[in-house]
Amino acid sequence: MLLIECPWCGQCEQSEFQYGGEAHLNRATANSNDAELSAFLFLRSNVRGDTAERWFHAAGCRRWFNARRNTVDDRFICTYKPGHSAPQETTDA
Amino acid sequence: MHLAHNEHDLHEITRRCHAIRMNGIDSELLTPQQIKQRVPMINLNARFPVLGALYQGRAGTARHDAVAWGYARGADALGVDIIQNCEVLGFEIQNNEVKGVHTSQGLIRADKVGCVAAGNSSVLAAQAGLKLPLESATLQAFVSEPLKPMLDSVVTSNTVHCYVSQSDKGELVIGGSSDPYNSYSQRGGFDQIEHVVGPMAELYPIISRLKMMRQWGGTVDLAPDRSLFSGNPPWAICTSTVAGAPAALKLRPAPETCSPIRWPTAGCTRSLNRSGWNVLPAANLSTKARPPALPTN
Ligand SMILES: Cc1cc2nc3c(=O)[nH]c(=O)nc-3n(C[C@H](O)[C@H](O)[C@H](O)COP(=O)(O)OP(=O)(O)OC[C@H]3O[C@@H](n4cnc5c(N)ncnc54)[C@H](O)[C@@H]3O)c2cc1C
Ligand SMILES: [Zn+2]
Repeated sequence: MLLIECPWCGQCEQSEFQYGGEAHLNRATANSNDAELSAFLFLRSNVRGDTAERWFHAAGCRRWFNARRNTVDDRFICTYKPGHSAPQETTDA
Repeated sequence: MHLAHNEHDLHEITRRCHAIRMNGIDSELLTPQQIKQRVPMINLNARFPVLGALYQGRAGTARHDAVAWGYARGADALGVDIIQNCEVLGFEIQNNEVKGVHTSQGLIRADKVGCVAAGNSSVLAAQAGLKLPLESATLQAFVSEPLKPMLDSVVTSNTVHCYVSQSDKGELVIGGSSDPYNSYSQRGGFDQIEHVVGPMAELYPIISRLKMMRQWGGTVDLAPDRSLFSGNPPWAICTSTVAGAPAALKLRPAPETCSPIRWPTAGCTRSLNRSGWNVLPAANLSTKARPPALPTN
């Protein structure tokens, strides 16, 4: 994962990006009980394999985006804009 | 020896020094001059200057093979069978009670299952339907070519994120913080190497041309606040802040698999941290003794 494909800027060096944790979480709301709030704050899937996560192009366009990455070999499968669900096809990045 | 590089660090090491003493363990604060006496190779006037340190003089290192073999022999002496190359593939669960583990070598029946899979704890727990407040990341370490004795302490810094000690064979053993994204790759990112050797070369200019002989990455399981955690019965979990040290999981999933987690937990064994740097049996310490006064400057 030396290069990451920003959906806006294209391929840039990994050191320009910051990791933002698991993508597509459902936020806790004001009506959530303690267990739901605790789960939202602390529980993550921590997938070993193909996972969807958020990245931030910190030293570039400073925009957030989502990515599918394999946590066993650190290879990016694809990146996509926020608000979209993870594309299923595997384009090798 | 844990370095402080700013005023906040000084407050923090003072607080920690008191906390350690309150638990009956000796611990002292060092001035920059005292640090220089003990670690002559240090550059006190670095980009983030060294303003003080927390020091525990009796602490030290134990050779990692000796530690692993010590545990293995100890377990063996207690009647534990260690089955190598045997992957746990899932749990045998009947009526919400664990009855055994499915492995690559078949089913092993058991009423209680302990899980000490370090970076893979949450992967295994997920096989039993439990979600743990853990995320896995890579932590790298580096070992240099051997040198004559030059460092008689383990020197750590949270603020510039590097730590170093010298092994019996003369190699400097160097590390820093974990890579900043979830991973099970056991292979660190290149930019993290720079994050570690940068502060190292700044703090210890004498090693700036040192060659590294080995580098490796392991998977560490990190809680969001890097603290121990435990769950409500019927399942209980403890884990350590560092690198997946003992995560004991007594697995008996309840009907609602993941009950609310309590943070932090009273009674959750603090002694787990003893697998880290500072090894001292609590029994040897008099907790009644008043902590000695801290130096005023
Ligand atoms: C790079 C690095 C440097 C470190 N440096 C230091 C140091 O200098 N000092 C220090 O005190 N600590 C250090 N640590 C921390 C220390 O190494 C760990 O805390 C310690 O090794 C954890 O021991 P453990 O027995 O809990 O886990 P591990 O030794 O990781 O054992 C977990 C075991 O579970 C096995 N496992 C996983 N999944 C399965 C499965 N499905 N079925 C069967 N088995 C499975 C794994 O193969 C592994 O053998 C370092 C860690 C790293 C990564
Ligand atoms: Zn961008």
